[in-house]
Amino acid sequence: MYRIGLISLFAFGLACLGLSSCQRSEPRVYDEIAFKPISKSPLMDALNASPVDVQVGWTLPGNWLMKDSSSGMRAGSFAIQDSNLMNTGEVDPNAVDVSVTHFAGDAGGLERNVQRWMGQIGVRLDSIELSALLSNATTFKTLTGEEGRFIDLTTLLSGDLTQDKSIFGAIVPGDGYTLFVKAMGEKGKVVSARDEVRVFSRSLVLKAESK
Amino acid sequence: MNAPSLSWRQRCARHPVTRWLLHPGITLVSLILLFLLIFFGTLYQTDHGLYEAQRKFFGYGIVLLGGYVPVPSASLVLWVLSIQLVITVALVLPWRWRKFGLWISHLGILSLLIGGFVTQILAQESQATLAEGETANYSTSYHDWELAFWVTNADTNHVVAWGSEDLQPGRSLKVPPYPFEITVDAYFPNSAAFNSSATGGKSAAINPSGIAMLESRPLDKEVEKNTPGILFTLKQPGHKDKKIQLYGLESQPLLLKDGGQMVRCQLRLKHYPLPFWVKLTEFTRTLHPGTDMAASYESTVDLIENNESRPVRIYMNNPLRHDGYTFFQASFSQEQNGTERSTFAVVTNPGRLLPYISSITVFAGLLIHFLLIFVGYARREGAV
Repeated sequence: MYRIGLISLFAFGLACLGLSSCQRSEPRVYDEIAFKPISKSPLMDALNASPVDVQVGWTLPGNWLMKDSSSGMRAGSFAIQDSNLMNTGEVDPNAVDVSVTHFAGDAGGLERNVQRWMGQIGVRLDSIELSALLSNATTFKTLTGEEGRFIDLTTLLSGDLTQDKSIFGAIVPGDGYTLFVKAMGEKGKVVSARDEVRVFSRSLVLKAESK
Repeated sequence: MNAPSLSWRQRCARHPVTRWLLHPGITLVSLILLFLLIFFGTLYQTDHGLYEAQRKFFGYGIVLLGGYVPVPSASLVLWVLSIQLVITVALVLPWRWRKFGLWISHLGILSLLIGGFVTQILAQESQATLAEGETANYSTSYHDWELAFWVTNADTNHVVAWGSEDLQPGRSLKVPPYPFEITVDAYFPNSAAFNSSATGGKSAAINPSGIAMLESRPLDKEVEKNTPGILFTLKQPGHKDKKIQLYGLESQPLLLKDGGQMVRCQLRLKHYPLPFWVKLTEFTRTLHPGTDMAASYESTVDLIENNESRPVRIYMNNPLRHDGYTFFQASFSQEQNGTERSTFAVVTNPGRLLPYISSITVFAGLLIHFLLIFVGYARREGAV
């Protein structure tokens, strides 16, 4: 009897050790909500109604770092680093933030989106000035042939002497969607980064498929 | 002559193996080892981060104390102590009323150890980040990754995912029900991604974000800062094999065609499905006057289950507890466009009550034991 007792105890110990080192050899299978950001803004509603899947490819300039864009609605998120800091391996706390986003349809139209960007840096233009800004915007083509416009807000002043942020971006209307590239940060840094944003925007490869 | 009168417990207890297993020297060495592991583990944590220290000093394996002395890590030591405790309770502790308190306290210590093992194996910590109006029925790991494949039907993603622990080079993995088989060529727990300008226009494999090359990097001491990368070969019946590389920071998945349906593939932080839905209805934060520093912040969420919804406020020291899950208000963030996001720490731990129960049990056992000793002493004194 006592042998059975001893054997049971050892078996229990071994079983516990064995269980503690068990490894899964099957994939996990589960269902989850197809996560869609919800907002009251028409822009976000447009995203939710998107009938197309858009894949965006690009070529990054050398000093651009990929950032985490898994939360939110960005297709890509980058930091334009100060090249001196980058060489030392340090993180630039004032890096220009570049976002790549896309929305269904015209996403509210070119004018409305430019006004939205202006609102983010506290700049206001009347309708005549805005029309002039848009008509003077230079156009470009992506690698896959979509025609877009560069929107340069670095020349605009808000009248607020403390204004230190600015935006340079590109808006590309595609087939059933609109893509936005926005570089935002300290004005001087955004001005310096304009050429890189142009090169980046021209390198875009866009593929859209119906859902 | 006395042997036949011994019970099986007594015979087991007197067996040389049992005596060897219960040798006080083993207990003493184990306790000293635990002390040293905690001491050196705490020092190690300052340079290598909490996660790495926990994994190395408190997991399973051998650790070099001070870089030279090999000792078993804390989980192995605790197993030795647990086995000693189980043998003591099962074979040695006498069946007497006078020892009733000791029985209770030993069982309390045993349940404390069991609670520790249950927590180590089954506890899960993750997070959920939501903007106002957003709903989620899953949480996301802080630092564990998965290679996920999914098809979206209506509002649901049907996901098949292999955890990073399975992504060992040379291993072939199937992704049922999708007709894909992947062979892992390389998996880097921490990596850097380069575009084609860094590789002279060449690309090692297909990538949805224009990444041309992945390179392994040393692990960061803060485990959340590690970004993995994977290079694998995708086999699909009727198609040529494809080399694919994915990087943990990519926001868009790779699209793969399986007949008429689109399968998405992404290397991402592990998702853990929840048995209910949580919708953030309101997030409020109060700032310290004249500053951008948050004095307090709280979230109001709708807890949705079985088509019924109830509002719950989550704030400091007032988490949402439901169905074994606890949602703590952890942090918040603000995007450039002003959108505020609330982040919840999501914890599930089947053994979370065991430490409380164990502590009370040990306390009650010791109390009973000392009372019984006191009563016995008082009786003897009275008799004298």
